[in-house]
Amino acid sequence: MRTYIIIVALCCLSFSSCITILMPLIRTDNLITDDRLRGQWENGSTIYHIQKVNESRYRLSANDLKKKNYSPMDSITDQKAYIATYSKNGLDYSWVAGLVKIDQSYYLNLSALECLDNHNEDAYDLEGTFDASNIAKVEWISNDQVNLRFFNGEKIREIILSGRARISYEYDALFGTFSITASSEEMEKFLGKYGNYEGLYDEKRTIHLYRKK
Amino acid sequence: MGRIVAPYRALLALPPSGPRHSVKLPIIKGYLQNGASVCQTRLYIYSFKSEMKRFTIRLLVLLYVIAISGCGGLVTFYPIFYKKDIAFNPSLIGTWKYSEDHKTRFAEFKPIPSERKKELAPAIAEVADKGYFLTRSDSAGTIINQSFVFLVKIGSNYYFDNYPAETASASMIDKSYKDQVVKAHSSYRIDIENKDHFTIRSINKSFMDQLITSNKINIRHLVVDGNILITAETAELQKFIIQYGNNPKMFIDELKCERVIYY
Repeated sequence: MRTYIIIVALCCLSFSSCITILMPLIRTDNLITDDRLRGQWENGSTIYHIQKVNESRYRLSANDLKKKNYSPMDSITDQKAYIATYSKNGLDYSWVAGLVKIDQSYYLNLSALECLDNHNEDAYDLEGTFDASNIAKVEWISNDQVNLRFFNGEKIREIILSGRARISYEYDALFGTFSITASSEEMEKFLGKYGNYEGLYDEKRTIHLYRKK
Repeated sequence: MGRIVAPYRALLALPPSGPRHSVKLPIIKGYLQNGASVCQTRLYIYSFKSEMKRFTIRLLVLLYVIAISGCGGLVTFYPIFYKKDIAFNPSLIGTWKYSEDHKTRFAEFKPIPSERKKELAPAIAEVADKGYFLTRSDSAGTIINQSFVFLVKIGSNYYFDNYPAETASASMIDKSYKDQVVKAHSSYRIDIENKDHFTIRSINKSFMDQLITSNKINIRHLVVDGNILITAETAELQKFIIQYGNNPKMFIDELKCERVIYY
């Protein structure tokens, strides 16, 4: 029975390939900025635009800024997040990215924001879902080249499920759903401990960005 | 339900001036509820602090929507059933009509097509022949959503465990994007009256949340920005369902389904 469960679990793992975290890594007190991220970047034929939230089309209007519940602290944190956009296969993607420094390494908490089709409709608007985040390690090669390195989701899951790494998670073997449920603080510790293990990254998923502008 | 969002994803929306399009508020679409008016609500956000406030507002909106529509499943990370609990009933196959927000809707239950079984993990795909593929549409035939449904018996009652199916355009979407949308289970009590009528009962989410926040029940859950996500495993969920399955305060609303097409 145990063998069967392990086989089923491994089969399920092959379905997904990036880590999924339910509680975002970012907090108001650990979010930082690095303006080198801003700009237009190229990866193969895909062009990425990265800008601050308050420079993007999502920015608040002057009227919004006057709203009572918008505090100076809000404004500070507001200015630290980035919007990354790109187009692929006729779809316009937008992600929200927050930068966090852990020890000497930088990580981006990436959260899917929109995927719009040519009618400006959300192409992936499922009911009965909840949103999660992904994490990429940010490695600067130069001011004009940066690598976003993504974890190998299968490997991370494997070490978590086998008990070789301890972090809060949920795993539904029947439907194959896996998600890390660690708090931001717990995730920081996890990344501090494992973030420099090269074997945990999936090189095929690394995005090499070259600055265009 | 719709998406329950992490602080980031939902924190952004367009300002009134110069929008290219509207950003949908990604929550609150009930299982049998269009929810369009809610989804088109715009939020002008974006700090994390104000996001917390917005979640509170959204939670209130959610409770309001549930209060007025009565539609809301028991939203859980784990399914409410084991394979042994599946109680496939062939008489559900067919098209049913129901009324939602004073509009006629249609629900088509059919066996899960073999090409859609590929969306399921191997363990559940093994028993996919005992499940249904549900397509909800409006009176113009526009698909509202599609899902995998399993009729299960827990205690003395029957329930639907509803699991989202992919959209038609899903194959075009980056996997990394799709991976950030975690599918949850939404469950409803089902009372089959006869071969042509059955009733879906949704849970009273405010009652449920009250039970949890006042510690009247001890069920494993996470609070993600003010939203309660139940992470209890199946055994614990079933204990809860058996305990509250017949509680009139828990399953409050009725959605009457009437058969329109036999298959």
